[in-house]
Amino acid sequence: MRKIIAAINLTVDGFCDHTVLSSDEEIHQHYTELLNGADTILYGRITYQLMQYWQTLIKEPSGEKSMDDFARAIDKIPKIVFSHTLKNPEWNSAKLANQSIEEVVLELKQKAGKDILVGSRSLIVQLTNLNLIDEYQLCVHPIIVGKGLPLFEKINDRTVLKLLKTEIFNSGAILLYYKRP
Amino acid sequence: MRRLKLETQVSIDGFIAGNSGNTDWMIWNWGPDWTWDEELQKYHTELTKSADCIFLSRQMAEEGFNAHWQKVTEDPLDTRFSFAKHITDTHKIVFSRTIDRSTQIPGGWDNTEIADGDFVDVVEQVKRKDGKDIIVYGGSTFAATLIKAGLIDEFHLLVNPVALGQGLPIFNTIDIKQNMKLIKAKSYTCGIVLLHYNAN
Repeated sequence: MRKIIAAINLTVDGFCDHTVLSSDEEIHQHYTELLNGADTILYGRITYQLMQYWQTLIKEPSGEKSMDDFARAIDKIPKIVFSHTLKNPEWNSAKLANQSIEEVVLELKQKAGKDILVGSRSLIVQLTNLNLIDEYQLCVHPIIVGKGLPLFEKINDRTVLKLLKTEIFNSGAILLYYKRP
Repeated sequence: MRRLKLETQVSIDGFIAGNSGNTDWMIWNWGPDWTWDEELQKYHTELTKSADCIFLSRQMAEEGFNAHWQKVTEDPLDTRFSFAKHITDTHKIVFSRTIDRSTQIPGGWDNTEIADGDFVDVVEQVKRKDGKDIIVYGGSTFAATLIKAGLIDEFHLLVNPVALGQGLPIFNTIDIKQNMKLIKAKSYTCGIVLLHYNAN
């Protein structure tokens, strides 16, 4: 069955603020492959609006291959956005969810298809609490920040996972793959 | 110069203990059975043996760090014997302004001195002396103080496959973000990932 994969960047101390985590060419390539291997990505409004930045690179490519490739991959993948306030996602490949996150995920899992990515802190926490994340791909960047948005702050209980493998990037980032036990 | 190494177990989200100081979530609860992941145990023992000085917080001294390891050395067949013997034979420094050698601590003050001066000065002095490296294991407040002052040279984090949500942090006191250099990453059969970073 297709997997629900939580994929997100983290600091060593467990924060996921986009503002402190920068990705290099190699990490962009990694995420491009991840997007190309999936067929849906789920976003909350905040992360979605940050990701809309990549639309500008579709119109005006940066000339940097890994960024432009990533822009094409994120443009292409169907996106489902969970928001109570957004009226129009303003991106052809995106649509607003009209059901709860739980209903959407359970329905997607029943259908045939490739893996489904979850790219927002709020959705990762909600789905963790519903025990619906099959795999976590946590990319830990070599930085400590002290304060910020803690990814797992709002989980209901401690979440015990099973380590699958790790992958090291040249920047010193390490990708930790875990699955639900 | 001697390097100050922090070795500690952490959760995926960077806590070294639960809110009440609980460590029941750790795969390796530092209990008596050290045969469950020999490779990791070997790493831990070798790291400890690279140091000939241990920094302790007052709390760890009062909670019985010395007594605990002395007891293990009474049984040469204990799987922790070699590690414990090294710990008891190693020079230890307790950082505190509130206790002195007349204070009773479990296990007593053998090989253990008290540093009551400015801790930054003391740490820097100790680092300048000849010797092998220095190791510190926690607790959370003490480790956080050393991290904030930029005194830790190497971080050896044993990342458990658990997210806690909340707990005791060690990185929360830093004022500005700090880049680190990944030196080594290794996953062990038990599910722990060792992340060795050097401070930049």
